[in-house]
Amino acid sequence: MTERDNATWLQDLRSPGKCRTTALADLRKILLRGLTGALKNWVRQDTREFLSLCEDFIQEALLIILKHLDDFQGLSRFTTWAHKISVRVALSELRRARWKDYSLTATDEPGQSSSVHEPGSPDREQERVEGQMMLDWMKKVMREELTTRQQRALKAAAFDGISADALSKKLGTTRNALYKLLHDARLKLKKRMLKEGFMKVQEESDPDSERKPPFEVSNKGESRE
Amino acid sequence: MQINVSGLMGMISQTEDDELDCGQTYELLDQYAEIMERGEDPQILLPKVYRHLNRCKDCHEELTALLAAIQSDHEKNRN
Ligand SMILES: [Zn+2]
Repeated sequence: MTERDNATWLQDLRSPGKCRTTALADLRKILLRGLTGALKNWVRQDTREFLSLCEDFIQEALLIILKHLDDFQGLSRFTTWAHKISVRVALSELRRARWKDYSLTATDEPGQSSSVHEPGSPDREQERVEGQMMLDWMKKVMREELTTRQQRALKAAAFDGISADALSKKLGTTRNALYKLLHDARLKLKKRMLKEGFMKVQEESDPDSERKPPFEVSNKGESRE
Repeated sequence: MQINVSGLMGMISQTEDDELDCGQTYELLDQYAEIMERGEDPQILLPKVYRHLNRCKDCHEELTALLAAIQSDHEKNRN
């Protein structure tokens, strides 16, 4: 395979004829090498479907890449930029499949994991009771402060763990608009927490104080059957 | 972003008025991944992206997958 720098990639992909065909074939190979690593925690790879799934993702990614060549600013390697697009295409599709049966409910309706009760841990009863009180308080202020749409979105994202990608599609909106909806909701709830003197708010002065993400990052071999 | 209520309250308490959204983060994700690849500190070089990634599970997953893609591409290219 020809080694190309960023300028050569752009030039080859823009040029007509054999140069472009060869560059596209090389890029296809590179993206396939990338996706096999990127999807190892998402999809079983020992199946015949895996390769055809990757080929579908790569086909879609290549169309986006070719359409957006002018947007590439050269601030990373061209191949990293292309991997980014192919990863986004693949994960969006996999998330949509994973969450296709999820239905949106309001705050008080039972969700998959809206309770903090952990059966079989009596020694942590005090913690459980406090957790339940916080949960009840949170549900109450969510009802009082947030719109129905914000309540639904926050419950789905924070308590049920639905991906923002999948949730935005279910809400008929974009991921950016969903982020804004949830950001506005968090700002309203933060104001209320400050007003009611919740201790957690003392941490707010340092935005970097929480170094670990508050969500669980899955490294399990979750597979798409 | 499946978290318990105390995690949610922690996250709410750290909400900033001015945060990057997923689109702005996506624009910088390739640069962010290469900063990590070079062993530099993205928290210093791209602090707003760093903070978005701590809040947003989807973008965090995309970064993890992108880093795996880059590594897998390098390894398979060598073989
Ligand atoms: Zn995001």
